[in-house]
Amino acid sequence: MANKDLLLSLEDLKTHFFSENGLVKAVDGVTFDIERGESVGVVGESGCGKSVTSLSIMQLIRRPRGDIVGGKILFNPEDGSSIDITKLSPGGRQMRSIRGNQISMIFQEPMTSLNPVYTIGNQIMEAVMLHQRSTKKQAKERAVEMLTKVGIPAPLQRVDEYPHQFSGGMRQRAMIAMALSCDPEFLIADEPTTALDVTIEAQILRLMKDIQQDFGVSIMIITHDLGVIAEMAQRVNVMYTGKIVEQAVTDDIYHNAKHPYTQGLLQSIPTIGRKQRLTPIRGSVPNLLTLPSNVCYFAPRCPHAMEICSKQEPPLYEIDEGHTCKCWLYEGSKEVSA
Amino acid sequence: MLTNTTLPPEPESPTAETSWEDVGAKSLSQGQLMIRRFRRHKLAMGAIVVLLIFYTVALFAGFFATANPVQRNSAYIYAPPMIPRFIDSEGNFHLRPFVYGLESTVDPDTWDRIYKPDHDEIYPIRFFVETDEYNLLGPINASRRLVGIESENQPLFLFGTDSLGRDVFSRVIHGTRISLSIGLVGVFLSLVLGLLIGGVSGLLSGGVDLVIQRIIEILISIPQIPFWMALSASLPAHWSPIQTYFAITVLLSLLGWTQVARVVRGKFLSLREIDFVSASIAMGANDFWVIVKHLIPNFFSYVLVTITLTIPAMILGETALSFLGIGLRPPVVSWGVLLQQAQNMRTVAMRPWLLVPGIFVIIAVMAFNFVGDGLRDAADPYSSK
Amino acid sequence: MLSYVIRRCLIMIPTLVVISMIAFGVIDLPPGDYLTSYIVQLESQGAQVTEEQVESLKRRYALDQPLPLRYVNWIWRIIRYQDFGQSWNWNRPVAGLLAERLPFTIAISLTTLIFTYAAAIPIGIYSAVKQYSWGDYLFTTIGFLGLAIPNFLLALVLMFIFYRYFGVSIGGLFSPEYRDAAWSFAKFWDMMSHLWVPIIVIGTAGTAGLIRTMRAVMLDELSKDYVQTARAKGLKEIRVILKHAARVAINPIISLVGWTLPQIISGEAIVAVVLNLPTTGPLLLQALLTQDMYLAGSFIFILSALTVIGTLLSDILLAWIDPRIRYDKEA
Repeated sequence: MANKDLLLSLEDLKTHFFSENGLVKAVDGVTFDIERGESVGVVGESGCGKSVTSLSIMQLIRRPRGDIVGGKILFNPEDGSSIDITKLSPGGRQMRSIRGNQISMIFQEPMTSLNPVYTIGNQIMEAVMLHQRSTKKQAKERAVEMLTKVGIPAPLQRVDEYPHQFSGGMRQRAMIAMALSCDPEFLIADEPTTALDVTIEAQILRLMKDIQQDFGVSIMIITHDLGVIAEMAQRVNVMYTGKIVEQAVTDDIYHNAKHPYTQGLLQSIPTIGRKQRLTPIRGSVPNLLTLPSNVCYFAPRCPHAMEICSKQEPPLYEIDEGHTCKCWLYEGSKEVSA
Repeated sequence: MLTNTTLPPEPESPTAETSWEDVGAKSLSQGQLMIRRFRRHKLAMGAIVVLLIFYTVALFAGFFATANPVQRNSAYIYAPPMIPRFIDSEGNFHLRPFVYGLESTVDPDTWDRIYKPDHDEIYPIRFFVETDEYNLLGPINASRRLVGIESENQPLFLFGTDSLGRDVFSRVIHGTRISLSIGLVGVFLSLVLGLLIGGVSGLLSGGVDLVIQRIIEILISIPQIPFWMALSASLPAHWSPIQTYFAITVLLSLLGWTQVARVVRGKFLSLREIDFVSASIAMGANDFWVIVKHLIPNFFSYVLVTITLTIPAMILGETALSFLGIGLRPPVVSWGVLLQQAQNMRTVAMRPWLLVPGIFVIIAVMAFNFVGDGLRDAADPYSSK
Repeated sequence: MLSYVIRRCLIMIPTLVVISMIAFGVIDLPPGDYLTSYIVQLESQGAQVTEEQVESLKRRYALDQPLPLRYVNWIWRIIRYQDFGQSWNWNRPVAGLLAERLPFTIAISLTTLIFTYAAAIPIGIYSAVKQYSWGDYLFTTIGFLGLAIPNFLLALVLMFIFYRYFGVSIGGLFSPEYRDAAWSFAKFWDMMSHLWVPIIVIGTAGTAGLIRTMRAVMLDELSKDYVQTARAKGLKEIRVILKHAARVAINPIISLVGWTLPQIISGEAIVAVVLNLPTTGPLLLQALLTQDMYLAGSFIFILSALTVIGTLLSDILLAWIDPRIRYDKEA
């Protein structure tokens, strides 16, 4: 699998939380790769471990409440080095020089993810001055340049304005400008459009696509919305209760979904013109605290559940080249070692 | 402007998105939830126990005291505390704690009395001892007290005596009555005033509301102690202790009601627009009924938190005023009045036990603060605990 | 910003008017004709009071006029002639006593306020960042104690400990040799070495309250998204905490000056009596006990007015440092 174009690979990543009520395996053995210049989607309902995966890559899991307990996150930046992020100290110099510089992140809530008491420009400049050792003047020029690139009108004036003077969509643009200000190689977008109006959402997605081309940045987009994935990602990882249940290129997910969970997600999207009734997935995501081990966690909600599903955890089967699925329905296909 | 008047002990008002049918169910289950959350608060539960003990002591002060609090002992002026011991001067262990008798001599230079424990006089401490008859509660008299020693000529002074030879322990016990009830009465008055004025402010809104809000802001910006001092100093000196007592509670609640009023007004404003209130009005219920039936249960918990946190402020206020000599006056016994004796530094340096009533003030205030904190955490559905 | 400041100042005027009315109420409260008692007082001191003097006093304080006119006269004399009335006890103008005592009250209150904030903000940040650590528990315990100990009792206990175990008397603001000396560097230094006692005693309750609030606000801020954004930029944790979370958390704390300042001025009044400080507190108590009403009323008016002005200044400061308020208020 060693590949020159491989930017980041997660190998059996496990991130657990130690709550008062017990152990929560928020991310439990996740493996996937992201290639240079590629957009990868991670999709799933809330509470399935998508965000924890992204926070793990950034080493932003708050100890002692949670920690990466196993697996590797191999990051291969352009300079040819290869770093296992899980081995770095979260607060250490090396990790900090990666954060915001080589890997940056934008968050779900544009309304709250900017500090209310500093100007937009100030917050962009902070990252630039930190990582690029530029002067204040250069950093400010960079901030204006970035605001221009993300399509904020009158950037020279708006660079000195405060977040509350920006609309939600504008704030998310500013967040994108901030995230890209140090020319990162990898951008994690955690539900970047969930909090926005539909029209604004389209604009932001458009912007992210443009930016990906301009900057040649790889993007990992996290969402619960398969529509966003269709727009943005070339490959998709479907997550359920901390595990990847299906991986495929985007087309395959839409037209040839194998896992009952993916099928369920697709059926609950309203489509104009479709005559069928919407069939939501019954039940809800189980409480991660009370999960038994070694079973398929989707079985209680699965329309195709079999006896084996609640007795043994299914392995990952390769359905096609680049298409894997973790479900007993495909028993007999080639097993992939996790 | 909102920010200059934000006080720390104010609970956040929850969003008012409650619909008609779930109000009844919610107020019940919310109450149960609150009790459950409160019970998990160990410190607050402990504080409740402390307060229960304090109020029991206050109610049956005579039983817990060891002597009549106004009884003077000219032979025992400024006697030091008699400390209960288990081991005597020869190193023998006694299962029943005992105290030594006091031996007094007079300092030839200062004419002060000097007390020394007399190791030959051993008085075992006994429970439910028979003493002179005293008034227990209302019409009931009794003659047994919780602890005491059996002796004709040696009184028991657990916390020492004051300038007139009165037993500080018994005075502290009796002072509990005034000190702890003044907070309750004061808070009751605050509650009435706060509900009334806050309710009017929240219901009428407009100009009335504006004026009331300004008045509250002004009252909050005034330094309380100088004001209390001025008002209580102007109480006629010839008033009876009872009259003074009530006047002081009125004074304390004069500034205390503002908190309650703000909470009440805030809740009224958020609840006014809700459907069930308009529905009641549409169905012909008069305003009073609307208030009683629908609004009060909803903000009960917030008012409870506010008043619990107001009581300690009142206890501290009474103590401070009485300490300065412009609050309650002897022969009334309160912790503040007792602390008056500690005003003079030289007296305190020689007789530190005169500060003992202060310890009780601190314990009572802390207990109320803990309970208030526990209630606040329990009332806030968004609290992390 | 300027229009905001002007508006806030205008809003303050009715507040000051109400406070002055209440203060005048205090002056007017004692029953009886107090001109008569004043004359009795003067005569008991051996002074001869002539008919003209009585008339001039009556005119000066509008004593034969109805209450509203008496009030207007009082206010007018304060504004026009800085005449706060006459103190019977001291037999001199109240204004002179104010000029003597007030600077110390202001100095002590201000230093206490600064101390309160200087102690509470870092401790609050520490307690929030190290939530449930030993240090956090220690400060929480001290905080609860600080809120529960009446400040006069704290003063007594400190005095007792120092007197008993170190043989030092820690009352007053000056050592005896400097009490009546002219101002010099040595006298100033002597005052500073006495000042810490009242500052600690008066400031404890306020500090305890502020620590708790700061801790709570800080915990709230630390869980917000922008803190995560700051971390994701690659900032050092200490910078994330101080430059981002603490900077936002400080704003509501500053707005609490309006709550802390009355508490400090209140506390100062009573602690000054115990510690025998040359401030307004002991004089106020004495004036109240002897019904020296012009003195008492003026002190209350000035103390309250100071509090209101202090609160106003903190509001302006807050608007200056918090862009959200600044812009909201301008809009």
